[in-house]
Amino acid sequence: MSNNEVELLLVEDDPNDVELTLLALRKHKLANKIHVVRDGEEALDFLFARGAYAHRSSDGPPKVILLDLKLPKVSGLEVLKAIKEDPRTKAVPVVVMTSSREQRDMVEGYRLGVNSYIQKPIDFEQFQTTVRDLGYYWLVVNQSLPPEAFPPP
Amino acid sequence: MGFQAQSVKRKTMAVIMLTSVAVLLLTTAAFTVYDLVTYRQNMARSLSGTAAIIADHSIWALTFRDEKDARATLASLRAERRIAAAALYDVRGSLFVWYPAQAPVSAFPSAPGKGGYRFERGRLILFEPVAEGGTRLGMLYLQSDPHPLYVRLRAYGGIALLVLFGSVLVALAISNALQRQITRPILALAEVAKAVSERGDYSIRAQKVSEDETGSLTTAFNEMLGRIETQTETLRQNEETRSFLAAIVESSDDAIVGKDFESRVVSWNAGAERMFGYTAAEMLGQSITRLLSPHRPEEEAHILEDVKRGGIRHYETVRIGKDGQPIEVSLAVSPIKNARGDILGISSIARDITERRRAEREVRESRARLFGVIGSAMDAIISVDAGQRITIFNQAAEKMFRCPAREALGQPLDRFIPARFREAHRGHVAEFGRTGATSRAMGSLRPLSGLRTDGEEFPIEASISHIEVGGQQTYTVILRDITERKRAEEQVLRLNAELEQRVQERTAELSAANKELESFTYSVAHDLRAPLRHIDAFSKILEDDCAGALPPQAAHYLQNIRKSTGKMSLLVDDLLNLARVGRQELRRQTTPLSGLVNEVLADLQDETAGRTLEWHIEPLPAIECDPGLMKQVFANLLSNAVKYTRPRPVAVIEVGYRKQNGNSAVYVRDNGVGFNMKYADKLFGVFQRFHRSEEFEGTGVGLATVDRIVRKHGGHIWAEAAVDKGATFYFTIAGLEQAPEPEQEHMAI
Repeated sequence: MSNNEVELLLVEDDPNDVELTLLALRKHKLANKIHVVRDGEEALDFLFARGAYAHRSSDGPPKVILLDLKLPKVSGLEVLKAIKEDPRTKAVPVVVMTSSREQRDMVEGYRLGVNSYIQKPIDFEQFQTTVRDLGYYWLVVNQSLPPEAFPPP
Repeated sequence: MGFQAQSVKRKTMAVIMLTSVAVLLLTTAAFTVYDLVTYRQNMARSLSGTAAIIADHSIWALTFRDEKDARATLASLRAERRIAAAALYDVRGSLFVWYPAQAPVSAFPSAPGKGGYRFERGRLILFEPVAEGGTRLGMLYLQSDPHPLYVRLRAYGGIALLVLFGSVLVALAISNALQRQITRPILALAEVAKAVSERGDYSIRAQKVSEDETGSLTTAFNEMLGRIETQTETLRQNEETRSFLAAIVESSDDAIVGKDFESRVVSWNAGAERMFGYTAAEMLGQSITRLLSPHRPEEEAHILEDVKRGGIRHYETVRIGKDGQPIEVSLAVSPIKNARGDILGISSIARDITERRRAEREVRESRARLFGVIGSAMDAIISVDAGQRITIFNQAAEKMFRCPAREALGQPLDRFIPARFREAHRGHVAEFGRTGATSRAMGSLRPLSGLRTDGEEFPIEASISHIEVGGQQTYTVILRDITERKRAEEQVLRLNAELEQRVQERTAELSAANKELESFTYSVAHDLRAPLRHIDAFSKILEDDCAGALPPQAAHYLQNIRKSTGKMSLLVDDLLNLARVGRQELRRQTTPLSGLVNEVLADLQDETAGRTLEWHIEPLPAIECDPGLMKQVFANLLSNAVKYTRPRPVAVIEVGYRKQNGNSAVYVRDNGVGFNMKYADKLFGVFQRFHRSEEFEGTGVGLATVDRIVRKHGGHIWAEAAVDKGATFYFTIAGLEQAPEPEQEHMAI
């Protein structure tokens, strides 16, 4: 396991949200091994070690992916679909965090195999609490699959 | 019993007996008279001799008036026993002496009669003159004793009686034997006659037993019986015929009236009684003229004239009944003749044809109406007979086929059918005839074409009917020229197609607009909320991290910013919800409303913490509805009730269900601040608020959402309220009326 191992992949196009999410994670000392990608394409490149991330081929997948739905280029649900369809990433927990209250997005997300679906609370205090809880849960409490168990990319 | 009443046998015997007896009596009488006459003559002669002797002997005594001698002479008569008395009168006629001497003088005639003898009371009285040489000396009187004559007569009588008796016995025996020969055939005849008369059986015949007059009589009698039998049979047959005819006459519904040439009624049957109202008793012997119409005074005379010329005459005329009503009758009047052909009277048979006339009039009127209808019909009406020859061709048909009726009538229908359809048409008609149906409606026949006289073909719609009258098949077709309609239909089809095209275009536009709207709401949901969150988040961070560096005024402003973002986020959420309710399809399922209410109550627990609330929740029915949306209804109404009762120390909120006048409504009632009913029409509008937000928070979207959900469920919502008196919200939804009554149990939380 290398030092630059990524535990949490944040897929978020909005810089404000990136900042606020990182702020919340940092506050609770959970932001050590975070990587942020700004659109769906970049997310997939990262996960499948393509393009700019070709060098990551030997690295294991992150412990959890925080995925916004409304993303440029490739949408969040498409990213989710790709993750859950690929045997290399299928076992990676994906948490959808979205502003949307569209029920159909939630339905589609669960259909594609999302592990958790969270609507971003408008109240910042609630938001902080939510981010803290899910970071703590997925990074600390939850037992992730060891990288060796993943099939090579 | 008089003689006439005696039987022939007795009469015969009586005749024989009486005849025998009479003959016998006459014979006996004749003999007796003869014997008596002879005896008298003998006695007179004998006594005359005696008298002459006595007279001679008395000459002396008389001449000398010697009484003694005279007496002695007379006394000598003692020997003659037949002399009962004797006397001698002298020449002067005086009684001189008499014998017997002891007899009184009065027993002798006082003077002598003339000479000669006579019989007086059975006695011979004899005067014998006593003369001497021509000188008359006196007269001798002798009177015989009647006794011997009587004796003789008695003897004769006895003999006669004996003979008579014997004769009667013999005659009786003989007559009894003989009379049978005569009476037997007569009696037999009498027996037959009796049997015939008693039994009325004319087939009996008497047996002929002799060839004499009785035999002839029997023959004649039998012949007579034969004739009677024949005549009786004829009579009987005649009587039967007469009864039969009488029964026909009596039972006839026709009035059968016999009259004489003076028009007096001689017979009047029951039919006449019924028809004219007069009884036979009223009419017999009366003149028929009372039945005549006053408008036809000459009629009866004409009828009489006609009848006298002979033959049966028929008339149709009017008679007046007893009630004064005219009766239309058909009359058959004929002379009544006897066997010789003499006209005895007139028979008049009247039939009431009032009904028939009325029926005829109705038929005429009905025909007139029918032809009126046919004539004025907009459709062509054509009738054909079994030979397909046209019998009716109305004005509309003339117009349709451009052919006058006079050219069409009697022609085959073919000339109005395009040549290529003629064969098929015949087949159709024949098939229709076979089906036994009486009519087929317009449009049920295959599309047909007609052929106008000028050669133009045109589409027609036809109905056909078929009737059979008096064995004659008649087909009637009603035709409608549907050229215009076809054109109209085609136009409609074209317009419909265009419309369809336009609808599709519009639908496409609409769905594009819908898509746009959806993506807009999606954007709102997502994109509008994100900046809100960010404003709130950074305000919060600013507040927390830079609190000491900011003046108190700035902290206040930051709080206001965060309040506003909170409000705006609620607003966005509510608006999104309202939009979603609008476009969301209902997912109906049977839902117990009480369950929804309980869920909402549970959700409301945080809001009601620390307050005193009285809930009165009635059981509600289960209905078909979208449970998610219906829950929103209760959530809105109940949270409103909770909100607007906040000023009340004890909030009272009722949820119930009311059935009234066939309408059912669910209601939510509170004792809150209420509102003024003059704003009630604004209550369910979007962004409509009745309270300042400092008093009661809210977006003004909740009741608009409730209204939209209720209307989507086919119901409506309304409210009753008054300021400070609380408010009641009622809503109905489709199916609530039919919902089964919930179990009545009071729930209080």
